[in-house]
Amino acid sequence: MPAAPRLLLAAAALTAGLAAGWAASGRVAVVAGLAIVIAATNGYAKAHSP
Amino acid sequence: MVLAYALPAAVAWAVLGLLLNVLPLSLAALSLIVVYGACYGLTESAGRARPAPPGSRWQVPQTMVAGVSRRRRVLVWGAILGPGFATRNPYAGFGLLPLAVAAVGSIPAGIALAAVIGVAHGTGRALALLRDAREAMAGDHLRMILKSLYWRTFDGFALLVVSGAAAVACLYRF
Repeated sequence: MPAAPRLLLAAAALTAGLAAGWAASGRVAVVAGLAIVIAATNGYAKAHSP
Repeated sequence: MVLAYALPAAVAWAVLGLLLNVLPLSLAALSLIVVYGACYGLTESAGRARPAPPGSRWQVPQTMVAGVSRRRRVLVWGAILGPGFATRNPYAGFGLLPLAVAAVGSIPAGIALAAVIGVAHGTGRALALLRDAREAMAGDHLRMILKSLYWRTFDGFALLVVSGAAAVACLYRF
């Protein structure tokens, strides 16, 4: 993927996180929920690492 | 097989959840998530190799799985790979998980979150192995590298999302 779309997506990801945190009034539950998603994808993705 | 990976992972992570929430580390952990997520999120989403994510380079010795029954081999793999602490992990997202557990700031909730994280990681790992067993046997190394790069980019974006959410959580606490 070229650099410009990557940068755009990175900015969008950060903004999405800020928006989610704001919508949840800064509750840690959002971080906890995202951590569960990262754990599941990390376990799955690790099987694809050479 | 899924149970062999998920159960040890749940137990190991629950113990970590207890340890990380005994001390009041919540705000420090949240602040670290903001920095860690932004730093590694940008690195991974930009496709840069450095800085390498923190973690172990240890791999399961052949002697532990060679010449043993299939059942025992699955149990050994599950106990070591399910929790994910001991072996090499190329994705920085894994390093964020203990910080997220510490950020909870309550022992029961910390243990519960840690156990769910353990189950999620162990189950993900087992399902990937079950699904891709045939592909791995085909030995398509290049395809594996490409998939790894894809997951690394995904991991970077996920880290940035968490970093943003943690930044707002920090602001609410200050």
